[in-house]
Amino acid sequence: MKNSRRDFIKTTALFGAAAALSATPFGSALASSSGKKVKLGVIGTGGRGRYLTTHLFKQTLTSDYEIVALCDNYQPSLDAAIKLCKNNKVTPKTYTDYRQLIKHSGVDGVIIATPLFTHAHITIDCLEAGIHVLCEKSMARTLDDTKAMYDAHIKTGAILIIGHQRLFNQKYLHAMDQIHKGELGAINQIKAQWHRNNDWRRKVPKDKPELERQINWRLYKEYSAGLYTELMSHQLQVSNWALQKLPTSVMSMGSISYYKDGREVPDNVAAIFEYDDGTHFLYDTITSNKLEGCEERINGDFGTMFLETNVYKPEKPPKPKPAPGIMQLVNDIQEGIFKEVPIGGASWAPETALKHNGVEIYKGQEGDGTREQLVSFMGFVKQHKAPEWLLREGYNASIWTLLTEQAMETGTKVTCPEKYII
Amino acid sequence: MKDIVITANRVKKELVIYLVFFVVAYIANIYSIIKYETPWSELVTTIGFVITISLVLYIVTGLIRTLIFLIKSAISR
Ligand SMILES: NC(=O)c1ccc[n+]([C@@H]2O[C@H](COP(=O)([O-])OP(=O)(O)OC[C@H]3O[C@@H](n4cnc5c(N)ncnc54)[C@H](O)[C@@H]3O)[C@@H](O)[C@H]2O)c1
Repeated sequence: MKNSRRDFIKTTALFGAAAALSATPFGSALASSSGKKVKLGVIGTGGRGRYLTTHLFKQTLTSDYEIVALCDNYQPSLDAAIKLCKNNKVTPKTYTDYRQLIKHSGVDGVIIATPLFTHAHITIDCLEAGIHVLCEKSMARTLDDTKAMYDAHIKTGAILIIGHQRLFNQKYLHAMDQIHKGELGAINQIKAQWHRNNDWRRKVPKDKPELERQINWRLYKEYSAGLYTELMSHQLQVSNWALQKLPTSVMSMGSISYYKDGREVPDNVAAIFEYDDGTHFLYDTITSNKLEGCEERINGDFGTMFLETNVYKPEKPPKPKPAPGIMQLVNDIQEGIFKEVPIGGASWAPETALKHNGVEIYKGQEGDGTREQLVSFMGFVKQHKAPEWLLREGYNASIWTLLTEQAMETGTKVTCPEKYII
Repeated sequence: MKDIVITANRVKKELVIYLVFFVVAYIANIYSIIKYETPWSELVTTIGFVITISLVLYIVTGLIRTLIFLIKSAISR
């Protein structure tokens, strides 16, 4: 895809202006649209699906929607979602087959939060039925499925956006605005990591071991690319967003070195992406140490932004308040008297890290953008349109995530085949 | 045991010596305000430092003077 710089700047400006108007970048879309309530369905009511549903109940930005349908093919997940709705005095229709939901529920839009390998066919069927879709990241398990989802959106005109909530997060929007205005200077490197210390397993009922692959789908190649699709895709999206371009190639390594428990996807991965100007995005994930947590670090020649932790550190830290003149004089005299006279020694000194705490990038940040994303989606559904670049962000993050897996598996430097460029 | 008598003259002399050091420290403060471009309000706010420095100078020179006095009286004995 050729994500033109102008396109990006235009859309970033759109974000900025709308953000000033309301708590959500696209919230203004809601205010201006007709009074008809958006009929929403949730397909996949597992961990994420219920989290999003809870958000829908909690958010106060709009009441212009109703949850009319739930679907999950695993009864305990469906029951948990029904209970959640009941607690909020809502009684949606329930389905165990998403095709029935498409046929009978009359929804305007759906949130798809099923496992990765199911995203493509569910999304395409919804789009073809004229139902707008917010599909969780990453887009699909294969490159062809990812492209097919995009093509279905183009063919049908129905909205498709991908669950990269950082795109709706005020802190990120503000940071990107500053980055794109050049306030970080020239960016030559972006570094990101997602470090955690757990095995990433979900509990499987003891009496039903046959559910292992269904419940722990993230750990099996057939269903997921593991850390790449589940974690890295978010941070790769941030890197592309910050640089306003796509990588030209990627190299990666991954291995199962810690959790030798039958999983098929790596428990630690590292990747290097190169952009056309030689800028690199360095990425790694481990699952056996959480000291550094999750972070995206944008290294500019004027300063560094730590996006997850909301910190900006200029290269030239603000000078601390000077000591009184008389103290400085005493210090200088002391230094003059006791100064060591170098008579040899090292001709270099290591450049240790700058020591300053930095300043907040954005004040007043609440949440991670999920609420704004959901509210925006409802606004898009009402207007029957969404900014195209949002989908392109998700699409490109997904494509390059799968290419990274390919680079790891083949042990080669991988570029993007022409047919996946949009 | 012989009484040590501190004459009024001695006290006056010591006060003058201390005053000289205070003035020296005060001038050093003015000099450092100019040199390090710090605010002139430090003439007042750092008066504690100035007094401390002048006391240190007074004590150090006092020790030297005592040493000289002792050496001198040992030689003349
Ligand atoms: N954006 C984020 O930060 C974020 C966070 C967590 C998960 N996710 C994404 O959300 C999706 C779901 O993740 P999860 O953690 O909720 O997984 P999960 O396993 O907890 O839930 C998935 C649910 O989908 C159901 N399901 C499977 N196939 C189905 C089908 N054909 N029809 C209907 N239901 C079906 C399962 O029974 C299960 O209840 C994944 O794509 C994941 O990457 C995104």
